[in-house]
Amino acid sequence: MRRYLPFAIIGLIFVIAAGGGLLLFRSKNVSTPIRIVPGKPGAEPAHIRGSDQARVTLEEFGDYQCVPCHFLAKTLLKVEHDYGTKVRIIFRHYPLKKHVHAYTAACAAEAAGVQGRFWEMHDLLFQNSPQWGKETPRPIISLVPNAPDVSPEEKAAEVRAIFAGYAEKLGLDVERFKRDMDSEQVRGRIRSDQERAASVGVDRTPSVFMNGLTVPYTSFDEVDLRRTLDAELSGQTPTPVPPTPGSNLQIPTPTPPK
Amino acid sequence: MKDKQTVPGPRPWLFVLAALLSLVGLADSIYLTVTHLTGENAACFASSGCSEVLASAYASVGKIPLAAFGALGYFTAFSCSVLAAFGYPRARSFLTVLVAGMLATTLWLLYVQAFVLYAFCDFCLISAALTLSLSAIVAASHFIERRRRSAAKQAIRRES
Repeated sequence: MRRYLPFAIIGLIFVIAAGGGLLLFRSKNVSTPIRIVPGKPGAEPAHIRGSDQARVTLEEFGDYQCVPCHFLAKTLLKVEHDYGTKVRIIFRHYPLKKHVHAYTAACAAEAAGVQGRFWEMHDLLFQNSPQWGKETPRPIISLVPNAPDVSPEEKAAEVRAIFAGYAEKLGLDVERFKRDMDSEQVRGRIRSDQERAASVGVDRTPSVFMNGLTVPYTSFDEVDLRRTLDAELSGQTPTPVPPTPGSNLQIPTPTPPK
Repeated sequence: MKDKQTVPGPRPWLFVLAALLSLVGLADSIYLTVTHLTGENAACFASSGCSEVLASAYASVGKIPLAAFGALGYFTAFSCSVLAAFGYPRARSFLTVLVAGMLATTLWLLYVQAFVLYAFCDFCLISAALTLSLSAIVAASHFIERRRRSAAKQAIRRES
Protein backbone atom coordinates (compact mmCIF):
# COMPACT_ATOMS: atom_id res chain seq x y z
CA MET A 1 0.00 0.00 0.00
CA ARG A 2 2.81 2.39 0.95
CA ARG A 3 4.30 1.73 -2.47
CA TYR A 4 1.38 3.45 -4.18
CA LEU A 5 0.81 6.15 -1.61
CA PRO A 6 3.05 8.86 -3.20
CA PHE A 7 1.41 8.32 -6.57
CA ALA A 8 -2.03 8.51 -4.98
CA ILE A 9 -1.07 11.81 -3.34
CA ILE A 10 0.29 13.20 -6.62
CA GLY A 11 -2.83 12.09 -8.49
CA LEU A 12 -5.11 13.61 -5.87
CA ILE A 13 -3.30 16.94 -6.03
CA PHE A 14 -3.44 16.87 -9.82
CA VAL A 15 -7.19 16.38 -9.76
CA ILE A 16 -7.67 19.12 -7.14
CA ALA A 17 -5.40 21.57 -9.02
CA ALA A 18 -6.96 20.92 -12.42
CA GLY A 19 -10.50 21.00 -11.05
CA GLY A 20 -9.87 24.10 -8.95
CA GLY A 21 -8.25 25.89 -11.89
CA LEU A 22 -11.18 25.02 -14.13
CA LEU A 23 -13.73 26.21 -11.57
CA LEU A 24 -11.81 29.44 -11.04
CA PHE A 25 -11.61 29.96 -14.79
CA ARG A 26 -15.34 29.44 -15.21
CA SER A 27 -16.14 31.82 -12.37
CA LYS A 28 -13.90 34.58 -13.74
CA ASN A 29 -14.26 34.12 -17.46
CA VAL A 30 -15.28 37.47 -18.90
CA SER A 31 -14.87 36.67 -22.56
CA THR A 32 -18.36 38.07 -22.96
CA PRO A 33 -18.05 41.84 -23.18
CA ILE A 34 -19.53 43.94 -20.41
CA ARG A 35 -21.57 47.05 -21.13
CA ILE A 36 -21.90 49.58 -18.43
CA VAL A 37 -23.42 52.89 -17.63
CA PRO A 38 -22.33 56.19 -19.18
CA GLY A 39 -20.03 58.09 -16.89
CA LYS A 40 -18.94 61.70 -16.77
CA PRO A 41 -18.21 63.17 -20.19
CA GLY A 42 -14.46 63.74 -19.84
CA ALA A 43 -12.56 66.55 -21.51
CA GLU A 44 -14.51 68.22 -24.28
CA PRO A 45 -13.84 68.15 -27.13
CA ALA A 46 -12.22 64.75 -26.80
CA HIS A 47 -9.07 63.91 -28.71
CA ILE A 48 -10.36 61.76 -31.54
CA ARG A 49 -8.34 60.32 -34.38
CA GLY A 50 -10.17 58.71 -37.24
CA SER A 51 -13.28 59.16 -39.29
CA ASP A 52 -16.51 60.56 -37.89
CA GLN A 53 -18.22 57.79 -39.84
CA ALA A 54 -16.21 55.02 -38.15
CA ARG A 55 -18.33 52.08 -37.05
CA VAL A 56 -16.01 51.23 -34.21
CA THR A 57 -14.87 53.67 -31.54
CA LEU A 58 -12.02 52.62 -29.29
CA GLU A 59 -11.75 54.75 -26.18
CA GLU A 60 -8.42 54.34 -24.42
CA PHE A 61 -7.55 55.49 -20.92
CA GLY A 62 -3.79 55.65 -20.94
CA ASP A 63 -0.68 56.78 -19.14
CA TYR A 64 2.34 57.87 -21.17
CA GLN A 65 4.76 56.21 -18.79
CA CYS A 66 2.98 52.86 -18.65
CA VAL A 67 4.82 50.09 -20.47
CA PRO A 68 1.75 48.19 -21.76
CA CYS A 69 0.38 51.54 -23.03
CA HIS A 70 3.60 51.97 -25.00
CA PHE A 71 3.08 48.59 -26.66
CA LEU A 72 -0.62 49.24 -27.21
CA ALA A 73 0.16 52.57 -28.88
CA LYS A 74 2.23 50.74 -31.50
CA THR A 75 -0.60 48.27 -32.08
CA LEU A 76 -3.21 51.01 -32.36
CA LEU A 77 -1.14 52.86 -34.94
CA LYS A 78 -1.09 49.75 -37.12
CA VAL A 79 -4.80 49.16 -36.57
CA GLU A 80 -5.66 52.75 -37.45
CA HIS A 81 -3.59 52.48 -40.60
CA ASP A 82 -5.09 49.17 -41.71
CA TYR A 83 -8.74 49.76 -40.78
CA GLY A 84 -8.86 53.26 -42.20
CA THR A 85 -12.25 54.86 -41.80
CA LYS A 86 -13.77 51.89 -39.99
CA VAL A 87 -12.11 52.62 -36.68
CA ARG A 88 -11.51 55.76 -34.67
CA ILE A 89 -9.60 56.26 -31.45
CA ILE A 90 -10.39 58.44 -28.45
CA PHE A 91 -7.53 58.97 -26.04
CA ARG A 92 -8.16 59.99 -22.45
CA HIS A 93 -5.60 60.68 -19.75
CA TYR A 94 -5.26 58.47 -16.74
CA PRO A 95 -1.78 59.25 -15.37
CA LEU A 96 -0.96 56.96 -12.48
CA LYS A 97 0.60 58.44 -9.38
CA LYS A 98 3.37 55.86 -9.29
CA HIS A 99 4.63 57.07 -12.67
CA VAL A 100 6.39 60.23 -11.62
CA HIS A 101 6.51 61.79 -15.10
CA ALA A 102 3.16 60.59 -16.39
CA TYR A 103 1.21 63.66 -15.34
CA THR A 104 3.81 65.99 -16.86
CA ALA A 105 3.64 63.96 -20.06
CA ALA A 106 -0.13 64.32 -20.12
CA CYS A 107 0.33 68.08 -19.67
CA ALA A 108 2.78 68.10 -22.57
CA ALA A 109 0.33 66.31 -24.83
CA GLU A 110 -2.47 68.68 -23.87
CA ALA A 111 -0.21 71.73 -24.26
CA ALA A 112 0.63 70.54 -27.78
CA GLY A 113 -3.11 70.08 -28.28
CA VAL A 114 -3.63 73.77 -27.52
CA GLN A 115 -1.55 74.46 -30.63
CA GLY A 116 -3.40 71.76 -32.58
CA ARG A 117 -0.70 69.07 -32.42
CA PHE A 118 -2.02 66.73 -29.73
CA TRP A 119 -1.72 63.49 -31.70
CA GLU A 120 1.76 64.28 -32.95
CA MET A 121 2.96 64.88 -29.39
CA HIS A 122 0.98 61.83 -28.21
CA ASP A 123 2.82 59.63 -30.69
CA LEU A 124 6.20 61.15 -29.81
CA LEU A 125 5.62 60.63 -26.09
CA PHE A 126 4.69 56.99 -26.52
CA GLN A 127 7.45 56.27 -29.02
CA ASN A 128 10.07 57.71 -26.70
CA SER A 129 8.63 56.68 -23.33
CA PRO A 130 11.33 53.99 -22.81
CA GLN A 131 13.87 56.83 -22.93
CA TRP A 132 12.27 59.72 -21.04
CA GLY A 133 10.49 57.34 -18.66
CA LYS A 134 13.85 56.23 -17.32
CA GLU A 135 15.20 59.70 -16.68
CA THR A 136 15.15 59.25 -12.92
CA PRO A 137 15.15 56.21 -10.66
CA ARG A 138 11.66 55.21 -9.73
CA PRO A 139 10.48 53.50 -6.57
CA ILE A 140 10.75 49.74 -6.87
CA ILE A 141 7.57 49.02 -4.93
CA SER A 142 4.86 51.56 -4.34
CA LEU A 143 2.81 50.81 -1.27
CA VAL A 144 0.55 53.73 -2.08
CA PRO A 145 -2.57 52.77 -4.04
CA ASN A 146 -3.00 54.38 -7.44
CA ALA A 147 -4.49 57.82 -7.09
CA PRO A 148 -5.48 59.25 -10.43
CA ASP A 149 -6.10 62.76 -9.19
CA VAL A 150 -2.68 63.60 -7.76
CA SER A 151 -0.23 65.71 -9.70
CA PRO A 152 3.45 64.77 -9.34
CA GLU A 153 4.53 67.88 -11.22
CA GLU A 154 7.34 68.69 -8.78
CA LYS A 155 9.02 65.46 -9.75
CA ALA A 156 8.42 66.01 -13.44
CA ALA A 157 10.53 69.15 -13.88
CA GLU A 158 13.53 67.25 -15.15
CA VAL A 159 11.69 65.83 -18.16
CA ARG A 160 10.15 69.14 -19.13
CA ALA A 161 13.23 70.01 -21.12
CA ILE A 162 12.82 66.80 -23.09
CA PHE A 163 9.18 67.56 -23.78
CA ALA A 164 10.08 71.11 -24.78
CA GLY A 165 12.51 69.51 -27.22
CA TYR A 166 9.67 67.49 -28.70
CA ALA A 167 7.60 70.67 -28.99
CA GLU A 168 10.44 72.32 -30.87
CA LYS A 169 10.72 69.28 -33.13
CA LEU A 170 7.01 69.59 -33.92
CA GLY A 171 7.45 73.25 -34.78
CA LEU A 172 5.39 74.53 -31.85
CA ASP A 173 5.81 77.86 -30.11
CA VAL A 174 7.98 76.47 -27.30
CA GLU A 175 7.49 79.33 -24.85
CA ARG A 176 3.74 79.11 -25.21
CA PHE A 177 3.98 75.32 -24.92
CA LYS A 178 5.83 75.66 -21.59
CA ARG A 179 3.26 78.14 -20.29
CA ASP A 180 0.37 75.99 -21.43
CA MET A 181 1.77 72.94 -19.65
CA ASP A 182 1.03 74.69 -16.36
CA SER A 183 -2.22 76.28 -17.43
CA GLU A 184 -5.53 75.62 -15.77
CA GLN A 185 -7.00 74.79 -19.17
CA VAL A 186 -4.60 71.86 -19.59
CA ARG A 187 -4.96 70.65 -16.02
CA GLY A 188 -8.71 70.94 -16.26
CA ARG A 189 -8.81 68.70 -19.32
CA ILE A 190 -6.71 66.06 -17.62
CA ARG A 191 -8.86 66.33 -14.50
CA SER A 192 -11.99 65.86 -16.60
CA ASP A 193 -10.56 62.70 -18.15
CA GLN A 194 -9.60 61.40 -14.71
CA GLU A 195 -13.11 62.11 -13.45
CA ARG A 196 -14.55 60.24 -16.39
CA ALA A 197 -12.18 57.35 -15.69
CA ALA A 198 -13.29 57.23 -12.08
CA SER A 199 -16.95 57.46 -13.04
CA VAL A 200 -16.75 54.44 -15.33
CA GLY A 201 -14.60 52.35 -12.99
CA VAL A 202 -11.24 52.47 -14.72
CA ASP A 203 -8.60 51.21 -12.31
CA ARG A 204 -5.60 50.52 -14.51
CA THR A 205 -3.86 51.44 -17.70
CA PRO A 206 -4.38 50.81 -20.45
CA SER A 207 -8.15 50.42 -20.28
CA VAL A 208 -9.92 50.22 -23.60
CA PHE A 209 -13.61 50.28 -24.43
CA MET A 210 -14.94 49.36 -27.84
CA ASN A 211 -18.31 50.90 -28.65
CA GLY A 212 -19.07 50.89 -24.95
CA LEU A 213 -17.90 47.34 -24.31
CA THR A 214 -14.92 46.13 -22.35
CA VAL A 215 -11.86 44.96 -24.20
CA PRO A 216 -9.95 42.56 -21.92
CA TYR A 217 -6.31 43.48 -21.58
CA THR A 218 -5.45 40.03 -22.90
CA SER A 219 -6.82 41.24 -26.25
CA PHE A 220 -4.39 44.13 -26.58
CA ASP A 221 -1.92 42.31 -28.77
CA GLU A 222 -2.32 42.97 -32.46
CA VAL A 223 -3.78 39.62 -33.50
CA ASP A 224 -6.42 39.56 -30.77
CA LEU A 225 -7.31 43.22 -31.19
CA ARG A 226 -7.85 42.71 -34.91
CA ARG A 227 -10.02 39.68 -34.15
CA THR A 228 -12.05 41.73 -31.68
CA LEU A 229 -12.46 44.58 -34.16
CA ASP A 230 -13.41 42.21 -36.98
CA ALA A 231 -16.05 40.60 -34.78
CA GLU A 232 -17.50 44.01 -33.93
CA LEU A 233 -17.45 45.16 -37.54
CA SER A 234 -19.20 42.00 -38.68
CA GLY A 235 -21.74 42.18 -35.86
CA GLN A 236 -20.49 39.03 -34.22
CA THR A 237 -19.52 40.47 -30.86
CA PRO A 238 -21.10 38.34 -28.13
CA THR A 239 -24.14 39.82 -26.44
CA PRO A 240 -22.88 42.09 -23.67
CA VAL A 241 -23.67 41.35 -20.07
CA PRO A 242 -24.02 43.75 -17.14
CA PRO A 243 -21.06 44.12 -14.78
CA THR A 244 -20.83 41.59 -12.02
CA PRO A 245 -21.58 42.74 -8.47
CA GLY A 246 -18.48 44.23 -6.88
CA SER A 247 -16.87 44.98 -10.22
CA ASN A 248 -15.32 48.42 -10.66
CA LEU A 249 -16.31 48.50 -14.27
CA GLN A 250 -19.07 50.83 -15.30
CA ILE A 251 -18.24 51.17 -18.92
CA PRO A 252 -19.87 54.03 -20.78
CA THR A 253 -21.19 54.10 -24.25
CA PRO A 254 -18.80 56.40 -26.14
CA THR A 255 -20.14 59.48 -27.79
CA PRO A 256 -21.66 58.45 -31.13
CA PRO A 257 -19.96 59.68 -34.30
CA LYS A 258 -20.96 63.18 -35.28
CA MET B 1 10.65 0.86 -7.36
CA LYS B 2 14.11 -0.07 -8.57
CA ASP B 3 15.62 3.25 -7.67
CA LYS B 4 14.32 3.20 -4.13
CA GLN B 5 16.85 4.61 -1.70
CA THR B 6 19.37 2.17 -0.23
CA VAL B 7 21.73 4.62 1.50
CA PRO B 8 20.83 7.19 4.15
CA GLY B 9 19.46 10.33 2.53
CA PRO B 10 18.34 13.68 3.81
CA ARG B 11 15.48 13.79 6.25
CA PRO B 12 12.06 13.32 4.63
CA TRP B 13 10.59 16.37 6.39
CA LEU B 14 12.71 18.58 4.16
CA PHE B 15 10.91 17.18 1.15
CA VAL B 16 7.56 17.38 2.90
CA LEU B 17 8.28 21.06 3.43
CA ALA B 18 9.31 21.37 -0.24
CA ALA B 19 6.05 19.67 -1.26
CA LEU B 20 4.01 22.08 0.84
CA LEU B 21 5.81 25.11 -0.60
CA SER B 22 5.28 23.70 -4.10
CA LEU B 23 1.57 23.42 -3.37
CA VAL B 24 1.43 27.10 -2.43
CA GLY B 25 3.34 27.93 -5.61
CA LEU B 26 0.96 25.78 -7.62
CA ALA B 27 -2.06 27.65 -6.24
CA ASP B 28 -0.34 31.00 -6.91
CA SER B 29 0.49 30.02 -10.50
CA ILE B 30 -2.98 28.67 -11.20
CA TYR B 31 -4.50 31.92 -9.96
CA LEU B 32 -2.18 33.97 -12.18
CA THR B 33 -2.86 31.71 -15.16
CA VAL B 34 -6.60 32.07 -14.74
CA THR B 35 -6.44 35.86 -14.31
CA HIS B 36 -4.27 36.07 -17.42
CA LEU B 37 -6.63 33.93 -19.48
CA THR B 38 -9.76 35.71 -18.33
CA GLY B 39 -8.42 39.26 -18.37
CA GLU B 40 -9.35 39.80 -14.74
CA ASN B 41 -7.39 42.09 -12.46
CA ALA B 42 -5.08 40.19 -10.15
CA ALA B 43 -5.98 41.15 -6.59
CA CYS B 44 -2.68 42.77 -5.63
CA PHE B 45 -2.44 43.91 -2.04
CA ALA B 46 1.03 45.46 -1.55
CA SER B 47 2.50 46.51 -4.86
CA SER B 48 0.73 48.53 -7.50
CA GLY B 49 2.21 47.15 -10.68
CA CYS B 50 0.23 43.96 -11.12
CA SER B 51 -1.55 44.95 -14.30
CA GLU B 52 1.65 46.29 -15.84
CA VAL B 53 3.55 43.10 -15.15
CA LEU B 54 0.75 40.75 -16.09
CA ALA B 55 -0.11 42.66 -19.26
CA SER B 56 3.49 42.99 -20.38
CA ALA B 57 5.08 41.17 -23.26
CA TYR B 58 7.06 39.16 -20.72
CA ALA B 59 3.96 37.60 -19.16
CA SER B 60 3.40 35.05 -21.89
CA VAL B 61 5.24 32.86 -24.32
CA GLY B 62 3.24 33.13 -27.51
CA LYS B 63 -0.32 32.52 -26.41
CA ILE B 64 0.61 30.62 -23.28
CA PRO B 65 0.77 32.57 -20.01
CA LEU B 66 4.14 32.25 -18.31
CA ALA B 67 2.25 31.41 -15.12
CA ALA B 68 1.04 28.19 -16.78
CA PHE B 69 4.66 27.09 -17.09
CA GLY B 70 5.04 28.04 -13.44
CA ALA B 71 2.08 25.84 -12.53
CA LEU B 72 3.62 22.96 -14.45
CA GLY B 73 6.95 23.56 -12.72
CA TYR B 74 5.42 23.67 -9.25
CA PHE B 75 3.34 20.56 -9.88
CA THR B 76 6.43 18.70 -11.04
CA ALA B 77 8.35 20.02 -8.02
CA PHE B 78 5.53 18.81 -5.78
CA SER B 79 5.57 15.35 -7.39
CA CYS B 80 9.34 15.06 -7.08
CA SER B 81 9.24 16.24 -3.48
CA VAL B 82 6.59 13.66 -2.56
CA LEU B 83 8.56 10.89 -4.27
CA ALA B 84 11.77 12.08 -2.64
CA ALA B 85 10.06 12.11 0.76
CA PHE B 86 9.18 8.47 0.13
CA GLY B 87 12.83 7.72 -0.60
CA TYR B 88 13.23 7.90 -4.36
CA PRO B 89 16.76 9.24 -5.02
CA ARG B 90 16.14 9.85 -8.72
CA ALA B 91 13.26 12.13 -7.80
CA ARG B 92 15.72 14.05 -5.63
CA SER B 93 18.10 14.46 -8.54
CA PHE B 94 15.32 15.56 -10.86
CA LEU B 95 14.05 17.99 -8.23
CA THR B 96 17.52 19.55 -8.05
CA VAL B 97 17.65 20.11 -11.81
CA LEU B 98 14.08 21.41 -11.89
CA VAL B 99 14.55 23.85 -9.02
CA ALA B 100 17.79 25.11 -10.57
CA GLY B 101 15.82 25.89 -13.74
CA MET B 102 13.04 27.54 -11.76
CA LEU B 103 15.59 29.61 -9.83
CA ALA B 104 17.22 30.84 -13.04
CA THR B 105 13.81 31.78 -14.46
CA THR B 106 12.86 33.52 -11.22
CA LEU B 107 16.04 35.60 -11.21
CA TRP B 108 15.40 36.61 -14.81
CA LEU B 109 11.82 37.61 -14.03
CA LEU B 110 12.90 39.61 -10.99
CA TYR B 111 15.38 41.44 -13.20
CA VAL B 112 12.64 42.16 -15.76
CA GLN B 113 10.31 43.50 -13.10
CA ALA B 114 12.95 45.66 -11.42
CA PHE B 115 14.87 47.03 -14.40
CA VAL B 116 12.67 46.67 -17.47
CA LEU B 117 9.07 47.10 -16.35
CA TYR B 118 9.77 49.08 -13.16
CA ALA B 119 6.81 47.33 -11.61
CA PHE B 120 6.24 44.33 -9.41
CA CYS B 121 3.26 42.11 -8.85
CA ASP B 122 2.62 40.52 -5.49
CA PHE B 123 1.92 37.07 -6.82
CA CYS B 124 5.12 37.09 -8.85
CA LEU B 125 7.06 38.07 -5.74
CA ILE B 126 5.37 35.30 -3.73
CA SER B 127 6.37 32.84 -6.43
CA ALA B 128 9.93 34.16 -6.35
CA ALA B 129 10.08 33.74 -2.57
CA LEU B 130 8.76 30.19 -2.88
CA THR B 131 11.31 29.28 -5.54
CA LEU B 132 14.11 30.75 -3.46
CA SER B 133 12.88 28.72 -0.48
CA LEU B 134 12.72 25.57 -2.59
CA SER B 135 16.27 26.24 -3.75
CA ALA B 136 17.40 26.60 -0.15
CA ILE B 137 15.69 23.33 0.78
CA VAL B 138 17.27 21.45 -2.11
CA ALA B 139 20.67 22.89 -1.25
CA ALA B 140 20.15 21.92 2.39
CA SER B 141 19.13 18.40 1.40
CA HIS B 142 22.35 17.98 -0.56
CA PHE B 143 24.38 19.38 2.33
CA ILE B 144 22.71 17.00 4.80
CA GLU B 145 23.12 14.07 2.47
CA ARG B 146 26.80 14.80 2.07
CA ARG B 147 27.28 15.01 5.83
CA ARG B 148 25.42 11.78 6.43
CA ARG B 149 27.39 9.95 3.75
CA SER B 150 30.60 11.26 5.22
CA ALA B 151 29.55 10.15 8.71
CA ALA B 152 28.56 6.72 7.37
CA LYS B 153 31.94 6.28 5.69
CA GLN B 154 33.75 7.22 8.89
CA ALA B 155 31.66 4.72 10.85
CA ILE B 156 32.54 1.97 8.36
CA ARG B 157 36.22 2.84 8.64
CA ARG B 158 36.05 2.71 12.43
CA GLU B 159 34.31 -0.67 12.33
CA SER B 160 36.89 -2.11 9.94
